[in-house]
Amino acid sequence: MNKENLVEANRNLNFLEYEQKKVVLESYPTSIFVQIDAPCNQDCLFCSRPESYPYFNLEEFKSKYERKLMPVLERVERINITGSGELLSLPEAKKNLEYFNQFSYAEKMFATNGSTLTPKMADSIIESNNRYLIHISMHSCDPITHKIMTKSNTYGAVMQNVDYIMKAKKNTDKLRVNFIFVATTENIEKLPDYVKFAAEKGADNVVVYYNFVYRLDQKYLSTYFAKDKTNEMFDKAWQLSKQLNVNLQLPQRYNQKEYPSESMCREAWTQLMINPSGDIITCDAAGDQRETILDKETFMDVWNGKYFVEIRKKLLNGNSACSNFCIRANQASLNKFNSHFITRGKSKEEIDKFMENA
Amino acid sequence: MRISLVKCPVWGTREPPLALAQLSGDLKTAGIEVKSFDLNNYLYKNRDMSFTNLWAWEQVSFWYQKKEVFDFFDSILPKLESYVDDILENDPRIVGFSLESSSFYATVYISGLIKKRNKNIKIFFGGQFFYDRRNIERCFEESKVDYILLGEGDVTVCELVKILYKDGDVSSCDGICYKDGNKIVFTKQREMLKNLDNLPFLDFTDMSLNDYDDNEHLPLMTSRGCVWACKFCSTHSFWHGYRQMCAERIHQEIAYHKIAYPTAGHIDFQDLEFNADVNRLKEFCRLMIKYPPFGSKQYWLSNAIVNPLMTKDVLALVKESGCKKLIFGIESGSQKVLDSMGKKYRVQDAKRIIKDAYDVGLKVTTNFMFGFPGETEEDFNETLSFVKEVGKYIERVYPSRTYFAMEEFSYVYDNPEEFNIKTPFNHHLYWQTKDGVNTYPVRLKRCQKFEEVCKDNGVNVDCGVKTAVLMDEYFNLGFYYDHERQYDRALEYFEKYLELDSQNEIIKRRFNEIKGTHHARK
Ligand code: B12
Repeated sequence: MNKENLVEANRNLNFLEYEQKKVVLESYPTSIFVQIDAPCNQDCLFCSRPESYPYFNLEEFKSKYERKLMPVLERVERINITGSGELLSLPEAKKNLEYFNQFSYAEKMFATNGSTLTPKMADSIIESNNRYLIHISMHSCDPITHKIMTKSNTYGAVMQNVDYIMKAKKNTDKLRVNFIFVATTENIEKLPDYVKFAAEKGADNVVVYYNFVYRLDQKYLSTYFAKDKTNEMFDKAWQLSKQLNVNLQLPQRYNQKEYPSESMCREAWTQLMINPSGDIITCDAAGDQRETILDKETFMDVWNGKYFVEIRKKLLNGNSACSNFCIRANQASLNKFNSHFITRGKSKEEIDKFMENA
Repeated sequence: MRISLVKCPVWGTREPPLALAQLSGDLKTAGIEVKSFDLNNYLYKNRDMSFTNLWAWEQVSFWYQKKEVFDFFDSILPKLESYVDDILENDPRIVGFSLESSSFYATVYISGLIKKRNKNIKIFFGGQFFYDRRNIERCFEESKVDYILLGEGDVTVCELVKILYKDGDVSSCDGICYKDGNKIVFTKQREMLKNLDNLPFLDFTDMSLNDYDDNEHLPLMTSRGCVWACKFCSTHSFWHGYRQMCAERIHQEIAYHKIAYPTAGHIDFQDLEFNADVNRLKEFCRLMIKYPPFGSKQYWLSNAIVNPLMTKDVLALVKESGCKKLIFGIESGSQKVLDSMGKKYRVQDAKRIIKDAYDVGLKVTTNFMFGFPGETEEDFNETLSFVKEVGKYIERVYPSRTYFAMEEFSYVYDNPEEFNIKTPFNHHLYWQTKDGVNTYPVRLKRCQKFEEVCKDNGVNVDCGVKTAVLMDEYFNLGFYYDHERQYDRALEYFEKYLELDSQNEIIKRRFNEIKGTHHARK
């Protein structure tokens, strides 16, 4: 079977197994999320980045995980390569991307704050002839808000780079660029301007997320505390996007009369996240439980191991905790504050503090 | 896991110390919290008038004298104590010092202050000071160091921090030495990095380029070692062989620092030579032309060797990529002297490259030495002829202010007999040949003659680093005659010096000491 066929066969089987509500799977995930941690030259208000963490090392990744993950990498449609920090600021940035380019049938996705996405980097991504989806996280398009949001002086570099790549991408159909907006109380009023900016530059999508609160000092950044303003700005941005013909992806608004019905989360069937210590989880909102690939012989030992099978069972039985706190699983839950902060690793007392006034 | 890194004086103040910037990048990459403290720059910035010249290159010998350094530090103790507060602020269990010979005594003093505060803090020493085994012994005797990290520290420091935080077995860490009872234990030698491309970028987080004398430039070191092994130079005894980063890696690092320093504009390569590999050079230039990180205002400077592959075309490319200046260690115009130095180039090539560089619009600086052992008056005259002939193409000559200093661990230093140098060896500056023909004052005279000829021929001379030429001469001869115990002459020169710089504490003190002891005795 050639490589494209392998991907397609896996996708079909995966779809089928999900439909058939299987908990032990023969198919592999259709996307993999490799956590690449790197230094960061910004200090975003809402960021979860810890004080210190080791940066990604390709040689280590290869020696520890490559063999076990190869069957996955050979079948995925999408490789997400993003972690804490700016992966393009690693000296090996280009080599790292080249490594993942060998899986040419998969679309590569990564996020950047834009400052390290230099013209040279942009050209080498385009020249690789791979499909890429780049999320540029700017959260605003004016220098003052940008500085407030990112606590950095990187605005100039970001704008230069964005200009370059948005022009360069006109010559290829393999590159998509989304402009990301993490909505907080500090920047929510700038969303309409951001939509205009995206229209000017030709972004494929403007994607808006609510921020997750990781630390107590970030609590009041949450738009949960500015519901009306947030709804108002979403409405304005939406109208503008229609006028300007921009794809705008907004999350649900607060206090809607109705929300889409709860859907069963697919991520435990389709996606896999691996972090540098070998821990494997289903998604970024997942709880404390996790499993490590390090002591398993093959990938399937994890994929059909206790952790994943348990989660799938719970999701199928409707007794997973996800719909209580996950906005993706249960969109109506956004009206509860506990959907806006990450409970992972927090004690009962800490959680109570987060919930105060909410 | 947390460590503080410290650089003590004396060191350059034009840019942050690269060792700290590099190690900080290394440690962060390994997930270790690190904070860097450039005490050298802090003291330099906060110095008062009586110590104003201490950072002048020519007065480096101050920092090699324990009493001078300790007296000076005693006199500013409150300032130092509060600096130590900062070093210890986040409760690092380890404090690492980066040493060159010029920072030894200052480091002994400051690491002592730290141990006094908290004897449980582990002290690391590392740096180029330690290619001399005797310096290792000295450190264990004279300082409170716990571990000396030998050679390239990039991997070793991360490994040892991790081991110490896990209370692990330090003997498993390659490339260190420490005391076990009375004996010094050396672990297995650390292998050198095979690939410099994987080195983390320099980290200037705690040492903003803006806080240094020349905040317009970005300093980078893109290679380790040198392709040559000149007999007066000791570099090859620390950095064996030569390794380099590839052009793309260098370009990427420049683009990265540009984000934080958009106005830095120029890149100053600290490499011993940037053109050892002309193919790399060409590729770098092409990248800088196609993707100029600093746009139209960018420019760069570097040291270069007289590499015959530097054709006019290459030089033109170099110019087009924004190079403003190349600095060549010409050292002498005499082929005989060059050969005995081990310089692997022909005088003709040097002349051709200097002229071609001029023709394509590059500026050239050339360094010269005076009185390499074996250099005769005739040989020296060939150096004069050299500047007379190609001086018009040279933007600036830089005559060595130490004329010819004997570098420890250089070939010459290790083989005095071969060079007819009087032993026992008396002083790195004041050495002389057995026949007494080549002495410090002779070398000084040659240097002065050289400058005269340059001036007569309209060649621009760089007159030393920070002090004026006359001051430099009086200062140096004062100390030379002091060293030679010719105290009358020493006083004569110190007096002349003080007429020009009456505030200088060091000279004043020495002048009074000599006057007090030796004159009184007379
Ligand atoms: C660039 C340079 C300078 C620059 C410094 C720029 C800056 N801000 O950093 C300037 C021009 C200022 C300079 C000045 C001097 N320099 Co100088 N300089 C060099 C050079 C060419 C490169 C040093 C460098 O930055 N390397 C890059 C860094 C990353 O390497 P590194 O510092 O060696 O650090 C590595 C290891 O040593 C080790 N390490 C270092 N520190 C620590 C600390 C810890 C805790 C650990 C674990 C490891 C560790 O790990 C690092 C990473 O691998 C070297 C020669 C060479 N080719 O190496 C001479 C050299 C370091 N200089 C030397 C000297 C003597 C001087 C002067 C004192 C000369 C003089 N007589 O006046 C003056 C300082 C006086 C003054 N007033 O300024 C000597 C030191 C000799 C010795 N035994 O100590 C050298 C080796 C040259 C030589 N062969 O003689 N210098």
